[in-house]
Amino acid sequence: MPGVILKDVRKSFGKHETIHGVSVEIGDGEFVTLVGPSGCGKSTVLRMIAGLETVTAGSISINGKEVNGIAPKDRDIAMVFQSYALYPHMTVAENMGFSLKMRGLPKAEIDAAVKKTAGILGLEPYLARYPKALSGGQRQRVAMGRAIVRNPAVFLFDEPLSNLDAKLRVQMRTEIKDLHHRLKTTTVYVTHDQIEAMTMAEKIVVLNDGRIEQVGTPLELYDTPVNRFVAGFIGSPSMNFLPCRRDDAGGLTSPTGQKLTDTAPEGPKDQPLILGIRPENITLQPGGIPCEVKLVEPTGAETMLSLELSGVAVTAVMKARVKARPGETIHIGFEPDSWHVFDEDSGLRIPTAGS
Amino acid sequence: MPKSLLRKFFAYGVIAIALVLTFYPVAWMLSASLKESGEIFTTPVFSSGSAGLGNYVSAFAEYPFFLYLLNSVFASLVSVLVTVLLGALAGYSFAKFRYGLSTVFWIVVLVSLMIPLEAVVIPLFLEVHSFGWTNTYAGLVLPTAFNVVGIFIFRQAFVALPDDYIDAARVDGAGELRILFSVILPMVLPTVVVVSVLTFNLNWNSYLWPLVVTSDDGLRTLPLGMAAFQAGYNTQYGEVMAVSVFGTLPTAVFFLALQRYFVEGTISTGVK
Repeated sequence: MPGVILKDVRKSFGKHETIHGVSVEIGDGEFVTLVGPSGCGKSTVLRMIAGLETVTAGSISINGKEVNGIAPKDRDIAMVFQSYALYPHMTVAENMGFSLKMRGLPKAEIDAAVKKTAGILGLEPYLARYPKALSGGQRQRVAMGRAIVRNPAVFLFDEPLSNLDAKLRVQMRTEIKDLHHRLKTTTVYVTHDQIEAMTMAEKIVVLNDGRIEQVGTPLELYDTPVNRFVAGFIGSPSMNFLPCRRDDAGGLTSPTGQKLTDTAPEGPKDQPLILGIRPENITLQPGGIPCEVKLVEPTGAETMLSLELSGVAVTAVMKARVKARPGETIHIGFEPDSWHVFDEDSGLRIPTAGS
Repeated sequence: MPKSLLRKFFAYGVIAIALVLTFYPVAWMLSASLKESGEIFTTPVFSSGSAGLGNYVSAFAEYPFFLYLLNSVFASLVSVLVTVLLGALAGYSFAKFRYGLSTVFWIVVLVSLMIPLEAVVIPLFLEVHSFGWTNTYAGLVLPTAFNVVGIFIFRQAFVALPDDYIDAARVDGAGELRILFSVILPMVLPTVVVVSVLTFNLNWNSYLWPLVVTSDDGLRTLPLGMAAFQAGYNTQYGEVMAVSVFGTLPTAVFFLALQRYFVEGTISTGVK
């Protein structure tokens, strides 16, 4: 049975509609991330699932039950906030046990549940402390503990890692994923960080401007983005886009006359197109496309090159060390079947022979 | 002189002047309360008087000041309770909810802040009289118990609190009253103290309303009792000062006990 189903969910603030009909099915036990740029409505969707925002139109159901008019506390959900929202005047144990206390559970039962959850998260030594005496990572863990202790049907995470430093973020990412493997609770996770979305989710929902752009597994989104927005949003550094048109030889050529590919998808010759190529799919190729080197950034494992190709800035990531200097010209090529073609006007991807 | 030393000198100078301005009247009051009425204006301020505790003894012999004190404490504490309770409820509503007329109501609150008691004392008296509340504790305490400033200060404090706390409590299963009293009010304790101290003080010094609504000696409050020593031609300054000392002590104790929170609260709410 599906965990959470959204059917044509809309949200208006006054006359202004911000969510324009979002439909998505989240399976029981599935880990789904909602990802998109700031202001795309992902947090609003999450808050509607939680019941913290009303639904203007459409329906949301959790475990087969429509929850549109139901208060957050009766939806069998738990939420982890970006700010953690730990009650500062309560100890860790009191914070974690608050929801159980609200449900009227006996104290012994609350203590047992809090202790068990604290064990899972390694929080036992801190149960008597107040949130102000904890580090950022520990607070994050308490916020998760507060959610887990209730054993809810659905976990909702609202950008839970964005207040942590880079190293801790990677560590907590693993912990949350590991926790999901153990608990198998349906999870909806909101983030603006596409790396977080890619590494954690089983399914990603890409939102833009209150609409779903694409739903799919991380690699589906990476390999076959439906449009230019998803192609540019998923992957880091993001995909390069080069304006081009079909040429007489059946390939693609830039407006300056630079031959880019030998093949092209079928279609009218005057259709303005965009060639999309990921930085990691660009290789050095003697006799290939000439580019001017603007910047060389070696990180040890790889080298990032900022190039200029027919007047367009292009980023390339090379596994091999590159001995180019700014101002020099190098020749590049694209790995076979790695590039995408988009219609310039609609932004939609045009399937090529390889994909 | 180095710049930092000059700045320090200036800062301490200002503090010293403020201290003198604040404490000189208190010192004058203390010193005068220990002098015979004739000595007060003829001897230097900081000289010892010959009355000893005589003014205190005679003042307390003449009027039931302990009863007045109890009346004042009772009226002030009820006022604090009412103001904290209603102020927090209304402040929470104004800070975190939007509904049809909330802006209109808020303007009404702001406007009512600007109406002095003196402007409404006659209609208020007539109304209280029609309840049959003249010369009763209810009439003495309730009509002026609520301090509108409480709504204002609580609203400002709640507005500054992130909504996440409230959302988290809602998801945790708390109702709105529970959220207010168990979750967000404990987070603004300094504000509770500020509202309490301001309200306590306002009521402690209240003179006009108790004067208008009570004539029974048993219902008098301290400020009314003090006024009893100021007769038309003969003010007994020694005794007035003695009861003034007596009347200042509770507020001083109340304030000193909560001083740390009060300073924290006035800084964080940005109001006084």
